[in-house]
Amino acid sequence: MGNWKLARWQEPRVLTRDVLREMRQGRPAGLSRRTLIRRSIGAGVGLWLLEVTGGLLGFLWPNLSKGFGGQIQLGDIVIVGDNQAVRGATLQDGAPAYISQARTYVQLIDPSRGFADGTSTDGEGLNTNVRTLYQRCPHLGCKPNFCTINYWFECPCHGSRYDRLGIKIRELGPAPRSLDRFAHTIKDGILTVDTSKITLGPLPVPLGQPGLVPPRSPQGCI
Amino acid sequence: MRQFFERVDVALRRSALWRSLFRQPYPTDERSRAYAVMNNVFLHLHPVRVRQHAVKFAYTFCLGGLSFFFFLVLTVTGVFLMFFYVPSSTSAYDDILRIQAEVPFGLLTRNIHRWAAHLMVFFVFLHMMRVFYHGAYKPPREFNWVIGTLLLFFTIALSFTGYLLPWDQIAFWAITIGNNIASYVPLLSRPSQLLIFGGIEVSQNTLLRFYVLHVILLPLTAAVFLAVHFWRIRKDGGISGPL
Repeated sequence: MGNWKLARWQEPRVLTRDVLREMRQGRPAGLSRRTLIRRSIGAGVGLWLLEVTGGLLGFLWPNLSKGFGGQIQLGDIVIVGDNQAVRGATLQDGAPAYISQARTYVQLIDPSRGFADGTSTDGEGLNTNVRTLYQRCPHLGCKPNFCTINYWFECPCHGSRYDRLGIKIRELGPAPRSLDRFAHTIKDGILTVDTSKITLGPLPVPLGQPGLVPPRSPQGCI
Repeated sequence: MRQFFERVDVALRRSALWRSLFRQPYPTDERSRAYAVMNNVFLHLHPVRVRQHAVKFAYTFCLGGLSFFFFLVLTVTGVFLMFFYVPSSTSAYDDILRIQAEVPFGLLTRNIHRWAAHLMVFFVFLHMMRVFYHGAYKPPREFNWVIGTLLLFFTIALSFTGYLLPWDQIAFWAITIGNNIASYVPLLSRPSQLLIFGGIEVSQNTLLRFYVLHVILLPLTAAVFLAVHFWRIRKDGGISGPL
């Protein structure tokens, strides 16, 4: 053991007054104890804040495993048809059923026929004769109501209008697309919607163009 | 008899309790008045002396003070309303009706809260305009302008969260629309919506979240920023002078 490995400034010195003053006032080489402690505390507090933020986000994150957001069995055409969106307007008349638990409008594409067994992963329902529409207006999230005067959907918030199958009329209202659809399955006549699978509605169709169910009356509800 | 009261009076004023509450005798001259202002927690926000232009009504129109006044009114009436309001989706609307119909002075209290909220937003806006047109945001007051801008956002956030609490149709759909506007934020749209709603749509979770934000988190944070805002006025040399 010897001092031969030490740098000049590390060699032991007699603690005279001048040496002490120099040690007090001179800048230490490398990381000073003060800087080390300060940085460790800073890093610790930073880490803690990060944990708190992460924990808070996790704490406030909603648990979506139950209810709306999963598969919901709605029943056969009689049970579904009993949930009239507007009282007195039946599925067979071309009016939708509304199931609030699933936030879904159920609409028969051809009202003269009933449910047909099958699966529609995009909710368009050409094979099942059923369209399952999400109640949420693609503009800003209000619920379009079904109007039994013109048999269209009309959004009360900003006046977007959709035909009875949820196709947005391009001239009427600000919504950027048609009503979104849920995937659904019909097995043995029982309709089940999968509210976790949403297909965005198609682009709006101008008035008078094919692909739009014309209104039954020029007057609307709003 | 009179002597007796005088003796009681003197004994009272000499007691340790009295002297710890009132550190100096009743202020009678300039110096002791200055002390009284400086030594009082509520008065010390004010400078001991103000310049003549600063108290001219037509310069500030008391707009900042009025905004703070409405903040205090909202705090007091809000606490009153909290005694009768439960943030539950089944009872919130009924509670509002009950406050208006059954609680003594309930309708008055709710209306004061409501109108003070409208007026606070209005006066905060006017205060900001006043500061802007006087150029009072310029150095050395630029930091306080930033604090003020934050306070504007707090005011708006308080207004927005309070809007949902009556839980009626207009509240429900207005918050739905507001949050859907917020969800146009790129990348964060889905997470922010889940966190604000506490679900996929406006629900019981949303009501509770907005209630907690409205009565605790936002007012408390706003109060801290208000303190900094007032303190900065003093530090930046009082209110700005005429142009």
